Amino acid sequence: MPDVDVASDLKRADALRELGRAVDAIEILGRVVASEPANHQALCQLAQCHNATKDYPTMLRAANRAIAANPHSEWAHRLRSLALHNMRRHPEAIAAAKRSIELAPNAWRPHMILADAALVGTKPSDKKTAYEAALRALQIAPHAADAHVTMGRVLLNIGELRHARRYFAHALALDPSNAAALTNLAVTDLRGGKVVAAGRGFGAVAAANPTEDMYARNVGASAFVWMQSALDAGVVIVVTSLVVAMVVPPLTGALVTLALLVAYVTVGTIAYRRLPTPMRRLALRGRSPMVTRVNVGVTAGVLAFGLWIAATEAFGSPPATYIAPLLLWSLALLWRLRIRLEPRLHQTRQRRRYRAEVFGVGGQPSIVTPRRPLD
Amino acid sequence: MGNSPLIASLMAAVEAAPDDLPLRVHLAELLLRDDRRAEAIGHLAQALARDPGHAEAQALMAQAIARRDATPPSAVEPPDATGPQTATDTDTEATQASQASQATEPPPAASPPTAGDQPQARESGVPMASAPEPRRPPDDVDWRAFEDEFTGIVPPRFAPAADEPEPVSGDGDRMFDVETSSIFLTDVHGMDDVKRRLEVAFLAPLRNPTLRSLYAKSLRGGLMLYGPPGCGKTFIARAVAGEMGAKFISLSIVDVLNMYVGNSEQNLHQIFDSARRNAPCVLFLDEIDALGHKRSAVNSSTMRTLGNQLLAELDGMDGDNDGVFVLAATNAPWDVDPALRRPGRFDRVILVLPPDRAARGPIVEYHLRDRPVANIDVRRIVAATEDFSGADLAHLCDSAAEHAMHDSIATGEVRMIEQRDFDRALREVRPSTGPWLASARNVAMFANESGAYDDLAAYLKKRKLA
Repeated sequence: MPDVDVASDLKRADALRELGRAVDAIEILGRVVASEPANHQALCQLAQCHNATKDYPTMLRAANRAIAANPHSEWAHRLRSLALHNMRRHPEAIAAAKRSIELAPNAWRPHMILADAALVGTKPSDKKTAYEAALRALQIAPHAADAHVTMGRVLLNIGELRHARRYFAHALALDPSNAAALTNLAVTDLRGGKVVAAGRGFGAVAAANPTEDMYARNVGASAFVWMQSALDAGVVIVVTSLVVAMVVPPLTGALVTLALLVAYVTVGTIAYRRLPTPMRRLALRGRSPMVTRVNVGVTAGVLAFGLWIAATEAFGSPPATYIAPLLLWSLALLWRLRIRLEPRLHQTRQRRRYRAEVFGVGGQPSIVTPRRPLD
Repeated sequence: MGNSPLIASLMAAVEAAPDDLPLRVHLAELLLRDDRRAEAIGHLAQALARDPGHAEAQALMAQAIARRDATPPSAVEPPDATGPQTATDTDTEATQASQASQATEPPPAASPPTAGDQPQARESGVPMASAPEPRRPPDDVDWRAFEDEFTGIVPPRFAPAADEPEPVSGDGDRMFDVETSSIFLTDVHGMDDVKRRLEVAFLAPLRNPTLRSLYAKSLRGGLMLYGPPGCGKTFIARAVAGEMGAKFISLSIVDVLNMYVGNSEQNLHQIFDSARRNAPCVLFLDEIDALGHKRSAVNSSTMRTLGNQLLAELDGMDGDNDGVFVLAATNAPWDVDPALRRPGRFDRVILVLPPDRAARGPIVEYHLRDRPVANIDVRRIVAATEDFSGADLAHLCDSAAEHAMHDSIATGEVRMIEQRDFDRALREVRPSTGPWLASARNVAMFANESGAYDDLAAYLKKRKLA
């Protein structure tokens, strides 16, 4: 067996993992574990590396071995909980996180892990567990940006957008480049209807982490939402034009329809040009060719139909001409309204459902202010 | 010994006011007159440690050393090899610092300094205090006492823990090689744009010293090569060294970390020092994204310190970088600390792409040069290997050879490598640049606000990948 300088190897592996070279670190740790199979730290680091490579079953195996080597290790139980959480074995993840807390009740990370694991549950009691764990983590470590992010995520999940935003802002005050905080802040914006702000936030994260495809997808999602809003506005204009065509004299109706179309195109173009560059590209092209075709097709349809209304109006078609299209377009409008309102209604329902259980009747989320580590 | 009471009194005064340089120098002068050279040298060394430019102290030190050199060499061996050097080379603070550092090292095998040590000292730029001949110290000097004293005066720059191995020092036991490259840019097929930019940035100023001085163009600076893996970034760096007739030192994060964690920044400093001594020298930092990772994304103090040390070395804070050409390569320039991209550091960035059509043919021919081939249609291979890196092409040739060999073993009849082997290999080997180009698409889309990746965006657009 070759003589392995274990302490140096562990440091080296940790440095490599931090540099995003988890595969290299795994190689070194494999050597250490072969030399010292019961080295608890090496096994925990190995689990960390497998987490970085998203190989969760292997991460779980490494965490289990670390627990076998040192059953009283908070770190090992925490890593086990994280692996189980990522493998969608949530009840086991919660149990492992609770064991980790038992072993180190005054450490903040086990509480954070428990909050993450419990947040997946749909019962109000799960949300309450998540909230309390996140609050405990924050009370222990008000200087940790990740603890603020976790609390923000819990609040976002139960529909408390305003408070969630505050916690993400806290996290960013502590760590301005925290990708999780930036992303979740953008998600909060998106849920609050601030599509462009959300796209800008997602774009900033994607620029800093261009190899993470998830961040790029987020920009695509915000661009898609923006494009859908533009198309919905087109549907509203068509329905308005049809109503106008039925109630005002033909020439006036034609002029009003044309004016609405011009306004739609002008405002749409200006809004489009003001979008952040990546969002602008993705709004038109989308991340899939199919989305592009649908978007372009619907826009062209809206404009063509508007022009048809204006043209037929100008020729003095009777109001009855527009009844059938009006019904169809009104149905389309209602369908779109339902799609747009459903998430908000769901959010309101969630908020009502969880609020009393989590914060108590008439209660509000606690606000833990961030603190610098050296305070 | 006539001055003894005065000297004793002055010694007490110096002890009470150790920073009083005139007093200490005066004491040293008296000690020297009293033929107590060793003590005089000790006080002068302390004075020079506090003020390395103190002219009187320097003059007295030279005088003291010269007198000592005049004494006939003793037949007795010095207590250890570090002793004589600490007492003689005290002209500069740097010398003292390095010697104080040496004093903390465990003594090497006892041997006097040999003639072989001298060129090393000259090479390192340390001024020689006296005669260049190897010297033997007198046996009446308490070298250990001097060492102890020096250690107290000038602490070593890096303090290793007791259980840490000693760092790499000097050229004798270094863990990196200073090579002389025999590769030239003419050996690099294709990549005309890369070659042109290298010519403008590095080679033309080197070849035209008159114009260089006219335009006040410095020979220092860095250049970063980036692109998919296996596309010849290291090869190009070697070719640049070959063109310059410069020495070549290659270094990667694994090398730095392997040279004892905890001493990484010291090792980095020594590598830069070695490059300065060997100037003109191309120092090639492979995987610069690891060595100079975004400090905002790094939590460990080790890696942050290493990043700071790299910045300091690039700025030449610990030495003159003239004649040191720092080339870096990375697959992930977006992970490189923005501070490294500032002017004077890696301000020039060159994209090294997979070999183009013109380059792929010669590369395939190169990899087949020592193999038995028959009727290979290189044009067909070139057409079928879009996006293949140089490494992929080598792998393709290996695979084709493997098929031919396997066939020869199976049939018992040795045959040449033929086109059909390449056709089979082409069905198996896929370009390894795909994932990189997929990431690059996001880079061009989201991270190119500053225009830093315009050339990449143009390439992706041309290839309809953006």
